[in-house]
Amino acid sequence: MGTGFADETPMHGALQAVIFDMDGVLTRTAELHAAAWKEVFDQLLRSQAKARGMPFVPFDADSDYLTYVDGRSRMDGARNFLDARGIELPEEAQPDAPGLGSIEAIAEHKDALFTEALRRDGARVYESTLQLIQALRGQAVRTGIVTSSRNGREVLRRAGVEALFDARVDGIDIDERGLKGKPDPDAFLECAAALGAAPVRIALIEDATAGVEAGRRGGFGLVIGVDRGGNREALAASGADMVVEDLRELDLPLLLARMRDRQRLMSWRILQEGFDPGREDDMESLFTVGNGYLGVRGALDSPLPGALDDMFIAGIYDRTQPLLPYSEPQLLTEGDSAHEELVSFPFPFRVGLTIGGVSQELGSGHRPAHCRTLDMQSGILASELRFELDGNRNALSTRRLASLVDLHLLLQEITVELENHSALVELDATLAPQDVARRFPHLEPLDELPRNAAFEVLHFRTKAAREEVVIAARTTLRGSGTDNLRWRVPGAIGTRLVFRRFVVVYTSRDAAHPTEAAVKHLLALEWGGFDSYAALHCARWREFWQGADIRVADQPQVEQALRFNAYHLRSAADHDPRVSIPARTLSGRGYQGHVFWDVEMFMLPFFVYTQPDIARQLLLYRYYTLDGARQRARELGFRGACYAWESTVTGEDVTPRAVRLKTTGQEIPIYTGSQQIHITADVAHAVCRYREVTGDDEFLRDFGVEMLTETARFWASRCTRDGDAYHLRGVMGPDEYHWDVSDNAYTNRLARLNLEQAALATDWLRHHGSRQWQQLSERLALGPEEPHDWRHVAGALYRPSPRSDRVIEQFAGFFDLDPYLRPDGKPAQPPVNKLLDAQRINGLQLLKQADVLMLLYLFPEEFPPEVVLANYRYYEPRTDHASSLSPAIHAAIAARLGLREHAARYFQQSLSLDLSDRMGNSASGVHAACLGGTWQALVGGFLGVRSTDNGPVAAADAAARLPDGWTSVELELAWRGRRYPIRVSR
Amino acid sequence: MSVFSSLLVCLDGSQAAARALRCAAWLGARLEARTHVVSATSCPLPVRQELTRLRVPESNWPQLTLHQVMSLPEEAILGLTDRYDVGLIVLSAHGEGASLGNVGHVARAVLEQTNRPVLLLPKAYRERLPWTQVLIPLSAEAEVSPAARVAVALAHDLALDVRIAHVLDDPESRTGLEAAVPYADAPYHEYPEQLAEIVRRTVSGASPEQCRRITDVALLRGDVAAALLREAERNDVSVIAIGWHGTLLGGRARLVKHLLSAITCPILLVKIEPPGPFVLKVGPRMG
Repeated sequence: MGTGFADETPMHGALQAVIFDMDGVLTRTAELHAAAWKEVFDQLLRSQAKARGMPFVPFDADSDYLTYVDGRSRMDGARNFLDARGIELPEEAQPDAPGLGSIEAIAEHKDALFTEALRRDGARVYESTLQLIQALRGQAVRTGIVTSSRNGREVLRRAGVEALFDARVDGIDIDERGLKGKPDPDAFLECAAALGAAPVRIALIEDATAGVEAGRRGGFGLVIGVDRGGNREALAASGADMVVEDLRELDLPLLLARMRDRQRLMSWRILQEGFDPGREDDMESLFTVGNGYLGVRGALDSPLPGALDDMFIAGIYDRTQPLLPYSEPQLLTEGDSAHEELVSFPFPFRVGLTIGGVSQELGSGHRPAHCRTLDMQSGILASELRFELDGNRNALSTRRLASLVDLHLLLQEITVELENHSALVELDATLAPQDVARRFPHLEPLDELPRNAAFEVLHFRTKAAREEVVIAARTTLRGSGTDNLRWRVPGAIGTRLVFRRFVVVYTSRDAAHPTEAAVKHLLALEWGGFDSYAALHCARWREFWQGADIRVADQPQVEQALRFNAYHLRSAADHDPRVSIPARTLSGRGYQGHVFWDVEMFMLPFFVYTQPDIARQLLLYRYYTLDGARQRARELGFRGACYAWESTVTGEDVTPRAVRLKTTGQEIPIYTGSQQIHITADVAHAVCRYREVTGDDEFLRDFGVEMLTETARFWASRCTRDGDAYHLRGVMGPDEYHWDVSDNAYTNRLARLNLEQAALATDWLRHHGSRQWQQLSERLALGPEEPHDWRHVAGALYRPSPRSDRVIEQFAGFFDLDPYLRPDGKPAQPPVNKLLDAQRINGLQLLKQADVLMLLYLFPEEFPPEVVLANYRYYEPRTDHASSLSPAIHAAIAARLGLREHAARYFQQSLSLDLSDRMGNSASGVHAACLGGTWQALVGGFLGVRSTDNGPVAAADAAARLPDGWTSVELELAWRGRRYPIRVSR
Repeated sequence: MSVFSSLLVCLDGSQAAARALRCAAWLGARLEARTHVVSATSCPLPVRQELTRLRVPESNWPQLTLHQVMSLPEEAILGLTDRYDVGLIVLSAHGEGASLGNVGHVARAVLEQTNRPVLLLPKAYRERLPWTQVLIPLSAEAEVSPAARVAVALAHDLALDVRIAHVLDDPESRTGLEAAVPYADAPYHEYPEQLAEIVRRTVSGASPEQCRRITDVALLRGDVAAALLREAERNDVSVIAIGWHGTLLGGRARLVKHLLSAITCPILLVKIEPPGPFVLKVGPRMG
């Protein structure tokens, strides 16, 4: 398997290869190059000076060489130096302008001089470099060489060192393959590919700033600068992890140690360098900061027009507004809910910065250097912009966080530096958005307070749900002693201005008078306490990681991705039992912020084992929305409680019933709302699993029994009796390609669990909480015969048995559908579009996601391995994984079965869903179920953790299940009030 | 300020070029843009005489600046474009000279060498002035479309409706599970978001006012060029905006070539610039 998030070759763990630059690192040819450049440039400069009547300023073979030429191709180097001297020449040699009249002519002349010198003087190597290469190769570390020089192979040949390299990329290769020159990383990445190692596993050694920058941009695991004479600072500033004067300072242990240090650091960060407007919406999702009360997308501090710079507040929904005036597919809903869609609020970190009258933002014409870093360990997002216009250099760096301690509080710090000029600095820290009606169609602005220069209060009310939301903010300039919303500060050269902002958010769900609460809270905050507020937030994140971090030895990319997943899960949830986690968390508008079974079946296990207090609140959400579920059951004509497939804050069903395509008028029905009733049993299952792991009898007594009872009543009334058996007809299982089916294996099994556990729970309550039992049974008018009925229905509910080949039928009649696989076992062409060809898919043996396999995953003790294997072999090739929920379950099952290649592949797909370069729709928010599913695949699949009387234990063969290249996995799991370390190692 | 403050149109006395001039003159008047007329000639004439020779209606003369250049037509066009920093070149795909396929040699040279937007009038051009609607095809690739941005800005300036068309993938071009849409979640819920996201990403940088010109998004099926041709004809589209990579070499620009063979409205061709440096340091690039 090729490069990816998990490397399978353990070569020294962290380090697999080292790439060397040639000139100045391996060979002493830098001097030859510098001399040749000097000769040709001086010739040109002399003639130019004479022609212009100006003094001759020669080419400096040290400083000019290092600054403008070193490490670059001949053409780039020539162009760079001439630009610096303000000399314009055409690129190509002109037939009517011989001599040094073009960039091309200069480059060729330099080459001729260098070649002559090489022929005359030969190529000498640095002995210490040679020794290092030999030592590395002696330890089976691969070596590569990269040079921009078109004479590269000749130099290596003359130096007698060709055989020391497993891969070479030189100037000829660069031209032939159309690679970009340094500081672009193309050539290094090409060499990495030839070495068969991921850049993060490679150390790169360079003596030129352009090369160091290329190494950083390429994501190499360690970049070492070699200071051959006076550019240590420049090499460090370009991004070198360490700078040495000679390679005798290096050895393999040191390289390994430094690489591990860097990998450790980077595995806690998500770092974006550069800017691509086409990827910005995706980046905004990845860089969201949140605390479960609110989430703020990672938009730029000065968002571009059209940015999705949303802030979402958990529990604040309103009536759906049209997506866009021209929405092609329109979602049609049954009723007219006032709590249908998560509301977007104005961006609370907005900054308008002008320096010397020039706007300092990415969209302002000039292209600044940009870098954005999410430090997951501390929950802080930092951003850096470096601008240069007409020689004036400015830097803007910001940090922002959503406090994990004070949920209403957002902190932001904005640092402005004038590096080499003086100018007026103007900062606009107002948050009031333009065009509220269009940009925030859910909101009605309320304006009560008189305007105040010291702080700003935005007060809104949602139009349908009538919730009030207040955003209040203050900004100060450190050292000024005042607050202001707009700042004008004259700045001298080298000035560094630090602005700080408090933003406080309250809603009418928090306080009867949210404006009063917000202003009081805002004004009580002290600027002197800014750093300590931030420190407390960081400490809370560290506490979280103590219980949630997973350490995978020598797999920093895997650790990074796992931390990313855990970060976003934690950012989306806290202790408010009135809300749950939307499918795309609070990081995006996807799914309108609706809550699905994703929480109970995919995310909850993570919280149960790491943050059981949060898990409890997530289940309490289902308790507090029981009335909505009861209503739903009644609407469907049944008893008890039937949870809505999609819900928000009241439990009412907000699932769309159809999609209408505007251009054709075609209405495509959506069956999930009325038929995907397994969610009711999923909630019951979650209650049981929570209680099993936490031992929280109080929850079961006060809330769980009622939830199990009401949901069991639903199932008992929903089942259809046919002779001695009961059936569930007209349902949809987890696989949404098939609707109106009967006896879906998954649904039936979960329903049976629900009925059985409800009967057991009522027995338990009768014995362990007689007072609560009496109150509950009176309140619910629970007859003594009901638990008996539930047992009876559970016992008689149809259970599909494996057929002769051990395959369980997904639903009645599945085996009679049109085959999806060809006779040779290869998949046929999939239908073009799942939306428009839904009818065709319904009659095909094609699955959207794990359905029977989901069942086998949840109940490993019920199905012998040969049954699991047979069903995996049958259903996996028929699954197109159009749901992000699917790969993780396949990974888990494959891991348990020892299908190593499948397990690793599906795990990688799930692990990197939102972070991978192939993101397709993460702009709408991160995929929360996938984040949780990935954790389950690792813990429940690869490690095979199960609960015992002595706590959670890994499977006996867990070490053998680990993916190739993994040597150990360590984590902690919470179980019944204690934390248990789990360590699996080969 | 309008999206194009200056236009350039090349005339050679042909009917095709005259149609290009009418289109350019209309655009220039509506955009209040300076309109340069280029005539590549070995024998310059007095201005009025040359304009008459080029079949320029007298009513247009006041708004035009005539350049008579003694060089090859393509060199004249490219040179003047740079010299006067022209925003839009208006060109007939065919003129008096030799042509290969659906693009004449002058048009081809200009298309491949300029980095300015080019409004190309195809062989089957049917005049539809004033314009009312621009069609923008969208791909699902994660790339910002300069053509979409330019088209939306032009639509705003000319008060045109913008129609966006997304052609769904042709199933015949895919094989096996690997090619199936891997992570597009439930089409019922993701689809609206997907389309909105595609639109948003494509016109990234356009102002909200400009985006308000978008009135329709259509889902089309089948071969991309055929679907766009049908859509253009069905809706009597005034102009179609395409982003392209700037070469008509064999095997490239298939969509553009196919459209040129049959479309009756002008094609606004905008070259796609390579994006600036960007790297997300995750996975193998984590270092």
